[in-house]
Order: sequence, then C-alpha cells, then structure tokens
Amino acid sequence: MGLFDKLKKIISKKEETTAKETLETYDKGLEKTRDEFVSKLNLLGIKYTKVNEEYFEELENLLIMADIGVNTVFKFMDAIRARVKSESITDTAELQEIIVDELFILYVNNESLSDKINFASSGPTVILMVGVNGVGKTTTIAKLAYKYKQEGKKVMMIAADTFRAGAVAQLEEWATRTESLFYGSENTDPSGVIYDGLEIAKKENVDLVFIDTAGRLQNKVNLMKELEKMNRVIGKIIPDAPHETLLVIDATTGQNGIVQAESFKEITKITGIVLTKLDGTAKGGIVLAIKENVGIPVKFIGLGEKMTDLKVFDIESYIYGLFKDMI
Amino acid sequence: MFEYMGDRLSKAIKNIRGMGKITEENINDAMREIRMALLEADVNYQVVKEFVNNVKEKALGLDVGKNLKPDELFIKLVKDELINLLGSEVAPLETKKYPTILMLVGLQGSGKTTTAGKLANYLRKKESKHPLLVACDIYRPAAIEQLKDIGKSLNIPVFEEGKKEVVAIVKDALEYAKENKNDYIIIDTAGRLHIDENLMAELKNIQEFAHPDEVLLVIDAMMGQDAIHVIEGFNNALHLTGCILTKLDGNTKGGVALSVRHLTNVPIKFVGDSEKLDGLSMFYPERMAERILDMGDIMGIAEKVEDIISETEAKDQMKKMQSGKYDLEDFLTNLKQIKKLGPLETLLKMLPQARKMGLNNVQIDPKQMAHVEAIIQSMTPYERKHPEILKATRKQRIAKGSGRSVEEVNRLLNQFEQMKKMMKMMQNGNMKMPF
Ligand SMILES: Nc1nc2c(ncn2[C@@H]2O[C@H](COP(=O)(O)OP(=O)(O)OP(=O)(O)O)[C@@H](O)[C@H]2O)c(=O)[nH]1
Ligand SMILES: Nc1nc2c(ncn2[C@@H]2O[C@H](COP(=O)(O)OP(=O)(O)O)[C@@H](O)[C@H]2O)c(=O)[nH]1
Ligand SMILES: [Mg+2]
Ligand SMILES: [Mg+2]
Repeated sequence: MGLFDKLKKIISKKEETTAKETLETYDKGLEKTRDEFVSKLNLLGIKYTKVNEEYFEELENLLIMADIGVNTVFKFMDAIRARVKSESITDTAELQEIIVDELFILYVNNESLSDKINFASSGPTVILMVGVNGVGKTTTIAKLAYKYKQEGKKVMMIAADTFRAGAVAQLEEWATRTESLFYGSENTDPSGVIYDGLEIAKKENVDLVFIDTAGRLQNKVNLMKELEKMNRVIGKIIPDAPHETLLVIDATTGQNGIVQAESFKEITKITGIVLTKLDGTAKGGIVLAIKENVGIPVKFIGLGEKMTDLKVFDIESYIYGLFKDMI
Repeated sequence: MFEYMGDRLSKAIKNIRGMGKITEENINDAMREIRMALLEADVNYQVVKEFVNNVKEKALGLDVGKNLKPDELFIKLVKDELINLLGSEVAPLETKKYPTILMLVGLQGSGKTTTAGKLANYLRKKESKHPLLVACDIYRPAAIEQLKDIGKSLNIPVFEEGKKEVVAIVKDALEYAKENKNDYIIIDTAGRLHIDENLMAELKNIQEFAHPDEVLLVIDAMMGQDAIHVIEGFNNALHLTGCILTKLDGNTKGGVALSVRHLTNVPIKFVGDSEKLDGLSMFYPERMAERILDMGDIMGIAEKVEDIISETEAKDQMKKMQSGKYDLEDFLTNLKQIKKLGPLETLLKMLPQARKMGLNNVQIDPKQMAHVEAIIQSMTPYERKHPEILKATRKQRIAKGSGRSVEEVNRLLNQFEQMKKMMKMMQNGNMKMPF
C-alpha cells in the first residue's frame, strides 16, 4: 500500500474516531495554510495538465513561500524530479498525489510520533519554557496551565524572566486567571528565583511547575550560558528535572527558525517544540523544515492569544487539515 | 572585495575571475548561489526572481575593460542593485510638527513596546524633545505595567487610563500633553494580526481621531515569507509612513527588509539591535545589503567604536602601537573601552567573513576578560609600563592580589608580548589582521 493510500486511510479513520470538535479546530486554525498551499497546488494542476519546467518552477515557488527550509525544498524538488523521470510521469494530477506522498514521508519518516508530556514518577514535574524574544513563552505557559488545571492537576508558575519590563506581572496575571500558584520576584537572578520557587513547589506538593524564562536570541553566548546555569539549579533541587524543556517558536519565523532549534538543542535537552501564532500565518512550513533538519517533534500548537487557544499537536490531524481538500 | 563575501558565494564568484568577459555561462554558478543566499535570507520569492533576472541582464551588458576584474565588477553590481532595492535615500522621522504624533503598530511580540521606549529615549537625546508615551495595549496582561516600567527607567512620562476604550485614552493623552508641554506623543498599541478585522478597525479609529504624523510598522527581522502579507495588510489599512525592523542583534539575515522596500515602498526608518533602551540605530541600506550577502559590517563596527573612542584618542593609540611603546597600562584602557562596546561576540560577528573564520560562534567568556583586568590591576603603574621587570616574586604577589595563578599571569604576559610583535608588523606596512 502506497503512502498516499495510507494517508487516505488514516484520514477516513480520523473522521470516524476523532472528536469532531478537534478536527474542526485544526480545520479552522489551518484554514489559512490550506487555502494558501493546497488551493494553489490545485490551481497549478488546473493550469498545467502536463508536467514541464514551468510547472516545476511554480511548485518550487509554492514550497518556498510556505517557509519550508530552502535546502529542504531543493532536496524535495530533486526527489520529485527524479520520480517524474523514473516513473515517466507526465500528468500533473498524478504528480499531485506523489507530492503529498513525499511531503508526508518528509514529516513522518520512521518516527514514532510521541507528543506526550513526560511526567515525573513522583514529586513535581518541571517544565522549562525557552525561546527567542516575543514568541509566546509566557502565553503558552498560561495555556498549558489552563489545560492541566482542567485535568485536575495542581499547577504552579515560576517567573524567571527577571529581565523584561512587566514580565513578572504578566505571568502573575495569568496565574491568577488560571488559578495557579505563583512565585516570582523582580530584579533578581533568574536562577535564584527558580531555586526558591522549586523549594516551595516541593513543599506544596505541586504536580506541575512551569518555569517562564526571558527571551534570548540564540547567538547571545552569555544568555545561553545563563540557561545552562538554570538547568543546573533545577537539577540540584529536583533530580531528573526539568522533565520537559519546550522550545517555543513563532510560526511566522523564516529560515532562522531552524537555527533557533539547532542552537537551543545544543545548549539544553529540548524535548519538544511549541509552534505559536499558527492562527495568523498562512504558512506552517517551518514545521517541516525543523523536523527535517533538527528532528525535534512539535508537541503543541498555539492558535490564538487566549488561554484556551492551545492544541496538542497531532500530526495526523495536522496533515488532515493541510491536505483535506486534495484527497 | 569578494574576500568579504559568504563562503559559497565567494567561491562561485571566483570562477568569473580571469575571464575576459562576462558570459551567461560563467555567471551561472554565481547566479544560483546568489539566489540561494537571498532565499535563505528570507527575501521574498518574487523579489528574488526579479532581482536575479535583473542582475543577470545587467551583468551580461557589463563592459569589462582591460584593467578591471570581472568578478569584482560583478559583485559590485550585485551589491549596488541590492542597495537600490533597499532604498538609497534616508527617510527621516517627522519632528517638526507641534506636537508630533507617532503610532506604533504590528504583530504580537514584534517589539512595539520596547521600541516605543527606545524612540522616546532617542528623541529626547538627539532631538531634545519632551516625549509622552501613551499606553493603548488594553488587551495583553501587564502590557501597561511593561510600558510604565520602561517609562520609569527612562524617566519619561507614561499616560495610561487602564483598560479604557483606546480612542478615549488617546483623546485624554493629547490633552494631557498639551497641559504638560509634551511635544512628541508616542502611542503604543496592542499586537494584532493583520487579518483581524475588529482590531484593525480599532487602529483606524485612532488614526481617524488623532491623525498621527507617523504610523510605523514594527516588524521582526526574523520573519519568513509571510512578511509580505503582513506588511501589505497593515499598509493597506493604515498607509504606513515607515517601518522599524527589530531584533537585528540576532543572527538572522533580515531579508524581510527587501520585501518591505521593494514590494510596498514603505521606507525603513530605524532598526532595533538590542533589548536595551538605547538599542535603536539608523537604517543603512548598504550595511543591510552586506548583511544579506554575508559581507560583514565594517561600518557598523567603526561607528560603535567611534561612539566610545574619540578620533584623537584613536590616533594617539595607533601611534603608540606602531612605535612599540604600547604598554600594559594602554592595554588596560583598551580593555575597558572594549567592554563598553558591548558583548564582543556581537562585534566579532560584524566582521566580514566572520562565519568563514568560525567567529560567528566564538564564545568569549566575560569572566576571562575580568581575570585579565584583575591581573593588570594588581600590578603597580610602574610594572604596567615595564613588564620586563616582572620576576618570580612580583608575579607571585600579582597572582595573589588578583586571585589568579602565576601561570595565568605568565600566559597574559606572553600573549601581550605577541600582541606587541603583531603591532610592530602592522607598522611595517603589513596591515594584515592576525586572522
Ligand atoms: N534582542 C532584541 N530583543 C528585542 C528587540 N526589540 C524588542 N525585543 C524583545 O522582544 C520581546 C517583545 O517585545 P515587546 O516590546 O514586548 O513587543 P510588543 O510588540 O510590544 O509585544 P506585544 O505587545 O506582546 O504584542 C521582548 O522580549 C523584548 O525585550 C531587539 O531589537 N532586539
Ligand atoms: N495570535 C497569536 N498571538 C499569540 C499566540 N501566542 C502568544 N501570542 C501573543 O504574542 C505576544 C508575545 O507573547 P508572550 O507570551 O509575551 O511572549 P514571550 O516574550 O515569549 O513570553 C503576546 O502579545 C501574546 O498575546 C498565538 O498562538 N497566536
Ligand atoms: Mg515572556
Ligand atoms: Mg506591547
């Protein structure tokens, strides 16, 4: 069975088994992406019935516009061209299936797609949030806190962004809104705040602790070192922690997103990516680029500014949302 | 000139060297590399296509005179065309009106609030203005506190009325400004998506009411191909007077600058290059072109240095270096100046070919620099001028005084000797840098 058929099967199964509401959220959130990409791909198939150079060029254009990494696109185009040649494909309708096929291979490639949060076997589970400036770290903590509160967990937030103006107050307001415990103090060393905060978390028998950190650009050596120090402090108080280090990436980011993922992975053990602001961008291509280049799975996606605007990333629903119209 | 280019590009361009003329064939590789470089810099696909075709056409028409190197001619053409696209004329900020009203708009997290603070700081310092910051982000948690904190640290007034309707806030702010003689009003707005009709209408309402002289789009330099939709979305709704590109202190190439200029013709007025409130610089198309092509930013370094060291000071030091009279006292002074330049990594990265030399990921431990400083400071002024008198006992004393080891003192002295040798080499007309 070809991958394309597999995909079709997954999708039809998805429609039966997945809660309708989930699919609809994906559907809505990814509407932009799908509109952009899929409808253009379809148009391409109408415009060119035969595969030729112009067709290839427009296809490449489409993929680049979706922020799929430049290298990934070029590799992808080579693969498509090779298949066209070896399988003597001339019909664009036929090629369209192959394109979806290859994209799917690109993402799912022999991966067991685990999106689960790694919980501590006993004591507080610590989740560290990292990323460059303004991507949505603090808001994502609010969304995750809300989600796990709903699931009955005792949640705490620690404000270790002691740098940006108003950052502590921002997290504190989210703690109030989500009814989470909160620890923070301004103008101190972030590691110090974490130390004190985690001590409280242990005493209070908290299930889940989220640590908010200041935005840092991956090329700033001192700030990246600070992150190492925070990790050491966390591990000292709660062995095995942090249990998750989530790298937050803004979906509108271009090629630098790959560099971000690579650099943060070098410094800390990134266990997953949260892709934010997917409600606004017409692209979601960065997911493919990061997956191919860095191999870190996306665990959650952000689809808005409210605390309810978070979804567990589910590759099948994602692909469903992306390609529904084509299949 | 091509020594300054990114790795791949410079290799491709070398092929043109020594050619009697530029033909389609011998620039093919170079054109492909340029296309890759631009796409990797997030330059809009459409712009890349036009650009590449345009350069190719012009390159083929180039008259390669007898004494000219075609490779240099070619790369100059590429750079000039890029600068052209980026807009060669400077677009100054409106400052004449009394009061001048400026509004910052943009996507969530792009840097509006920070930039509001930076602009206020800049206008007070360079234009002797009395700015007023107005808090109109009534949505994001603690957005008002953020602006208030910024105002407090700058000692610049912030007007806020909590989460009131924004046009009403602006109205009151204008009155407040009149009473308090604030001549420049900077309105910070909430981040929003260009496709969010309700929130875009809110901005239009402010615009209709206050008629701001400047409506600036604050945009993240790391943005990908979607940038053009964002820029067009905001521009169509508000008729932007300019744009500010933030987070250029990162290692993104910032190809979005090209999309702004070429596709909408909105001028880029400033760039943000630090999280701190003095991190606002003029936009220089030439530097941006060099950054996109990975050619380094010599001008940027020169300017940073100039801010800190006066020209005469620099000349004096140059003389001293070349005459071999440079001593540890001078070295200490230089160290302190370097520290003022900010993180050395940033500076190194501005060097042409930083990437090629592996300097873009160089890690400089500020502690190490502090150790060097401590060692020199533990010397007597006489010792600093005459390091040759430093023997075992003195070294031990210095090590103890600085809390470092004797080996470290030795290492520093050795390195200093080598440095002096290098400076002498420079005097012999051998101006090559050590790397
Ligand atoms: N490194 C760097 N960080 C910047 C720069 N400008 C802003 N930032 C950071 O980017 C993040 C977002 O900045 P804000 O000023 O809060 O952005 P905003 O557009 O007001 O954000 P919202 O109000 O949440 O939409 C903060 O962490 C800032 O410190 C810059 O030029 N360089
Ligand atoms: N549209 C949209 N905005 C978001 C999303 N996540 C965060 N934001 C907004 O992006 C801005 C920056 O978020 P914040 O959490 O402060 O980022 P941080 O600097 O990484 O902590 C805020 O204005 C948030 O409301 C999202 O998924 N969609
Ligand atoms: Mg934050
Ligand atoms: Mg703001």
